[in-house]
Amino acid sequence: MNDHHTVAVGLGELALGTGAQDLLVCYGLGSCIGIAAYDPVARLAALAHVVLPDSSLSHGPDKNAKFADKAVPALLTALTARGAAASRLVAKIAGGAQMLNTSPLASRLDIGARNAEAVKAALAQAGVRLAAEDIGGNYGRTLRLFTGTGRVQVSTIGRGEKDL
Amino acid sequence: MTAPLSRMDRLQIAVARGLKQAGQGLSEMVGRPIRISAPVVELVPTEDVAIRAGGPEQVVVGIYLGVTGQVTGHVLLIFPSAAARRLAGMLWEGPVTEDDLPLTGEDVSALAEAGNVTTSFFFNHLSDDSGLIIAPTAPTVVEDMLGAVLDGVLAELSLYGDQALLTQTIFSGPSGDLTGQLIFLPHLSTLQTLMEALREEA
Repeated sequence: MNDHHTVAVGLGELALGTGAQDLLVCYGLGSCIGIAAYDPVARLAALAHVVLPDSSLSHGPDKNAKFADKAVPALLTALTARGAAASRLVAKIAGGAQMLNTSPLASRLDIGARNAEAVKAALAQAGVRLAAEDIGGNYGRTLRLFTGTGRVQVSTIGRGEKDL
Repeated sequence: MTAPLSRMDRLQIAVARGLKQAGQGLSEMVGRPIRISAPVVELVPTEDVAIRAGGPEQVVVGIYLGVTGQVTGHVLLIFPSAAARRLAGMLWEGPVTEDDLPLTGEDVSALAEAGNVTTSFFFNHLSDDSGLIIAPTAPTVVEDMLGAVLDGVLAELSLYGDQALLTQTIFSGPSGDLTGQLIFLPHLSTLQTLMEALREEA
């Protein structure tokens, strides 16, 4: 893993793998969702870090992957511009937890569950196949996308790691 | 003649005094002196808060409380896992839980109580200075990656604006073994109320 060029994808950001050695990472996803998309033929990969379900919640200029409904089209545009085909894309998602499940914040709005629902709806609408997901619960996840192979690894604190 | 204080200066002063009280509260609880660093009070992009607080991949124990009343928002105490275990052990006067074991029920209760006391001292002081009603909710204790602890809070904050007022201080015990931070993230809409109220009182 040390040979990889690691790119951290922060809240609301989207990153495109530019080389086979790129490792795109969403660190510490709680209620946020990482959407990894890969075209196995063009061998192109991109990762988006979604914060909120819907851009109607926006307050002005926002990063293009902040909202689920904007992140999926942005992901598609970034990949197809490089030669990927929407029909070949495979998506894997992780996150959407409810971290503070006894707080008033959580009962007011379960952002994690709403994010998951919105991401799935946006993927379906764009015709992108959702191949795997690791969603929900009350713990954080780090999602790693190896751009050379499309491999997606999810790691947790105390709950091990797995490939999606 | 001295230059008039800006709204941000006044806020900074009130916050610094409040944090000093919070440190005293925590100090009384653990029976050891707790040092409080000069707080950072500044507007930052909401997405940057976890980076500023130490990086989203850091494993931490977070004690979260909502903030209610005339000023609303969120407040968190954040400790590295080992420091949280030491603090918990001191508070309930039991053995310190090993780093690779989950927090015990006693640890969680003790840390929740530390969150209650520390933030109550802090908000009592801000209330006194502003004449506003401000109170923390019941605490939630979680141990996980900092990014995961914070992102739901940041998502909620970003419903109010794309910037967050980050109020951050480092507190530490005599041998640096209790180092943690307090982060207060008010909703920007109610920050205005707080600043106005502080002006009248000053």
